[in-house]
Amino acid sequence: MPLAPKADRDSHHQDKHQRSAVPNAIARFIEKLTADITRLVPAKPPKKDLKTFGAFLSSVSVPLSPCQIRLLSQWDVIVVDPLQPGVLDALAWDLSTAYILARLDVQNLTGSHAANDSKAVINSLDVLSQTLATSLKRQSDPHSYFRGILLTGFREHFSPAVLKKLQEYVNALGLDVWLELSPPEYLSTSECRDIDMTGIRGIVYRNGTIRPDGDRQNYFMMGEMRKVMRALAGQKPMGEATFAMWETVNDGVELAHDVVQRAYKWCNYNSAMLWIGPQSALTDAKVALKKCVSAEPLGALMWLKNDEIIAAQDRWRSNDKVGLLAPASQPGTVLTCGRSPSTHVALNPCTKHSTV
Amino acid sequence: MIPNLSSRLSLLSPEHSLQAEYGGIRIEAQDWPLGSDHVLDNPFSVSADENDYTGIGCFQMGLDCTRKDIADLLEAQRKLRDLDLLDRIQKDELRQLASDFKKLDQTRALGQDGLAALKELIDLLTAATGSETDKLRIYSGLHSGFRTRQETQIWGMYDVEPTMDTMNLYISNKTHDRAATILHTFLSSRGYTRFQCFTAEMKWAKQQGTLSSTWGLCPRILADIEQLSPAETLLWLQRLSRAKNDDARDLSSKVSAYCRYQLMEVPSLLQLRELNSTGYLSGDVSAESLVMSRLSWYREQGCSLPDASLALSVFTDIDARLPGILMSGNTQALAQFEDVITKIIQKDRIDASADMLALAVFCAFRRVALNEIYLEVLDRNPRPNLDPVQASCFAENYALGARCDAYLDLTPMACGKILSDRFRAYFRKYQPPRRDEVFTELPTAYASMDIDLDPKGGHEELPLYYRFTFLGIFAVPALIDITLLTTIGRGLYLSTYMSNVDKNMTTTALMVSLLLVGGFGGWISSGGSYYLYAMAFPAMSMFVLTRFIAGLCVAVVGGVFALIGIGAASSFVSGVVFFAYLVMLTTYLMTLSALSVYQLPGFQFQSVSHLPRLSSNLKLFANCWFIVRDELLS
Repeated sequence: MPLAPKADRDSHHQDKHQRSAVPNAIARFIEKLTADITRLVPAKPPKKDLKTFGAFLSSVSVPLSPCQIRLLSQWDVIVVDPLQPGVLDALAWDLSTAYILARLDVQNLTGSHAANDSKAVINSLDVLSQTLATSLKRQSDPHSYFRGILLTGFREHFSPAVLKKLQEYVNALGLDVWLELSPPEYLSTSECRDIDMTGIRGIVYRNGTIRPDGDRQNYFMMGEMRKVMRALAGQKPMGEATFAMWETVNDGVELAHDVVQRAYKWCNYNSAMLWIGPQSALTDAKVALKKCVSAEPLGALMWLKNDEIIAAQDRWRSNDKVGLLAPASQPGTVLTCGRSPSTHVALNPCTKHSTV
Repeated sequence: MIPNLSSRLSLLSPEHSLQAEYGGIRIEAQDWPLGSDHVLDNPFSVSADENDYTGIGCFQMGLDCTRKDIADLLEAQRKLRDLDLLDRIQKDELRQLASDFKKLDQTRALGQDGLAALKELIDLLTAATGSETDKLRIYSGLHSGFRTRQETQIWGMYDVEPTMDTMNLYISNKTHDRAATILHTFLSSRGYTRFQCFTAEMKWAKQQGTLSSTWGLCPRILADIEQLSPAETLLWLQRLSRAKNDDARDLSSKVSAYCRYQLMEVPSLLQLRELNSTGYLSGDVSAESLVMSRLSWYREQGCSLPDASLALSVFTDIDARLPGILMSGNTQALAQFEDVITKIIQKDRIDASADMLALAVFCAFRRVALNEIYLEVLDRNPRPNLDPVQASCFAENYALGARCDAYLDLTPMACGKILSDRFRAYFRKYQPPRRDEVFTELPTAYASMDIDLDPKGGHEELPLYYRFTFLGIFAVPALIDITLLTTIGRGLYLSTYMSNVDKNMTTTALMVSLLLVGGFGGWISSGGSYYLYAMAFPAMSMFVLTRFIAGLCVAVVGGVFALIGIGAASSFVSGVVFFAYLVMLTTYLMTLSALSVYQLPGFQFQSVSHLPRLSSNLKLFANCWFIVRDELLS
């Protein structure tokens, strides 16, 4: 049985006490929160396979514009910002077949960069619970239309032990917990070790396979992410956690076909959902429809591997004569394909007409 | 999709096109220096050294062959035939050959050259039954056995056995046309000149319909010339041009034309192909120079060709649009491409515009495909060693399969070279981090998630009683012994009521047993722990037991001798005491050392090497206590 390196085992042994230590004040606070809880989401709907993923983080108009409807209906998992105007109203318009995640940025909500002591952590937890209570549903709605929260910016605020407690609280509200991790360091080694992934429903990696400048993340750049994925894989079966790759590129960057195809291939291998798009697509529905990559691109090598194409290529490259052997009166072949009406251009009969 | 394609590729006649010179050498005619005479000999029948080829057999055109070479090869084939390793042609095929030759006979095509021999061949073939009594036996041998020392390829040889009046024909199993080879060899054996044999082969090919339409030669002659190296072709062409023999003029002109084609056209075709593939894909050749080279090739052929700038625009247009088509998943467009290409590229019916379109399409697809392959190879092998062979191996393994040539028109080595050059440029931009020496995993972006690794493995929590009994195995008996000694004066090991002699005996027995156990215990644990790690449990148990029993035996036998010795020297009782203590202590301590073998890492069972130190401390302590006791008692 292969063993983890000795250093890891020793430090694991050492920190085992630290890991399970949630400062008492924080623990008490969370218990208080859990005590008077009202479920936001009534029942657990049946599990559906989540295949596609997308994000739209700006305000939506009410009623939804056709662009926005088309955009939001093409994904299984949608990430929205619940604090933006119009989002809660839009959800009430029966997007309920989708799995909707509320993206909560802890740093933005609390207004502070990090929580250094217990008081600050309690403050952050307080703010978060307030947001959960008030911003996830309208007053008039019976329950929230969100299925989970996507927590981001939490690393400086919550230690892994506190995160565990927080996750239990959120689960008690009826919501799933997803984590959003960003480069360059997705999670530190100690966090990987200590974090308890069993309650986390899914993880979103920002720029996992494509860099913001449109080039690919090579193997070494993906090393940190791989470490996190391994830590997660060591703790729960692969089938129960969902991954997503959120690749945002800068505006104006032209995505290369091979980079996109490689991203899709890698994500297929790791059963991860993928969203690729420019920065402005997160806020503008029209840009999103136009510029986001919606499906795996076709492969040029696949086309070349076609049997007929191979035969044609062999004929072409072994051909040593150019110019028809047949007499000039031979009619040219007419090929008409495409949507435009065929236009027969009367030319030298030696040419082949092709209207494409 | 591509606007105005047909008008852009419309053909212009060569006079209208630019007459730009692209630097080429025009060869009008060869002018061979006047060499030796013998110009009147038939170059097909007679060698350059004036040796007659009649009766040698069937061999490659253009190269020389002597009777001695044939004799050597025949010798080898005869040996193989005697060993029954040659493949004999069976009755059915012989009958088929006979019927085919009959058809040739009926056409009366052979005329003077070999009609009689043909009839004879037909008769022999019809009479042949595949048995040992046949007059004609045809054997097919391995192709590698039909090559002379001068690298001439022999297709067929014959051998006459005078005693039984049978003829054996040996033909290579890789001949293009078996019947033609048999015919040629048989005619050669009947004394016809080689030229007549060639003529017969040509007539046979004509009757079968395999005569090449462009060159008017049978496929075997074409293949023979293709196999010649350029130097050999040049020499043969020289010979043919100088020969002034009238009979051979017709065949000679055809063969010369084909030789010229092989020398001039084929290399330039290969060079053009290389430009399209390796040159363009590696980035050395720009699109413009590629299109220009193609146009100049059309110009050489003298056919109509499209306008240069328009052709270039078609090329760049297709190249620019293809990634967009692929990204948007436009399968319809790809199907269109396929449709158009398969329709317009037909053998012998390609004109310049079709060729140019094919060039544009194939080059565009190849470029995109190579980008895909590049990323795939870098993902699978993130730390390449920049050797082109490694890159080509990975490319073939993960992307191309064995058909690199069919998809990209590149040899695998060329593909590897292009990829490894790209790696170099990429790593100059993004330097990879230093390799971690303890990293034993094969790096690949498609790595497994290592779910077999147990992060908590190897760190067992030992229960308290376990830890206690480890030390207790020594400490507890000693503790009990001391306690009993101090309380009742009778310990486990000694008692205060024993005489001095007895005490001496027991102490000596302890010392000797410690020595013995040290030796045997070390012997046991030296090998036993290795077997445990190798998980060879039966072997381990056997090992430990045999040595344990050996130790016991030594102790018992030694004890018996000591008993006799001590009994003789002093009293029998002391001897018995010594023997008993020796055997008991040796057994106990060796059991402990045998048990110490059965431990896994992380456990704290001390092996027997610690034992002497511990027990000597105890002994010292016990002795001190006796002395104290004695003093107290006395």
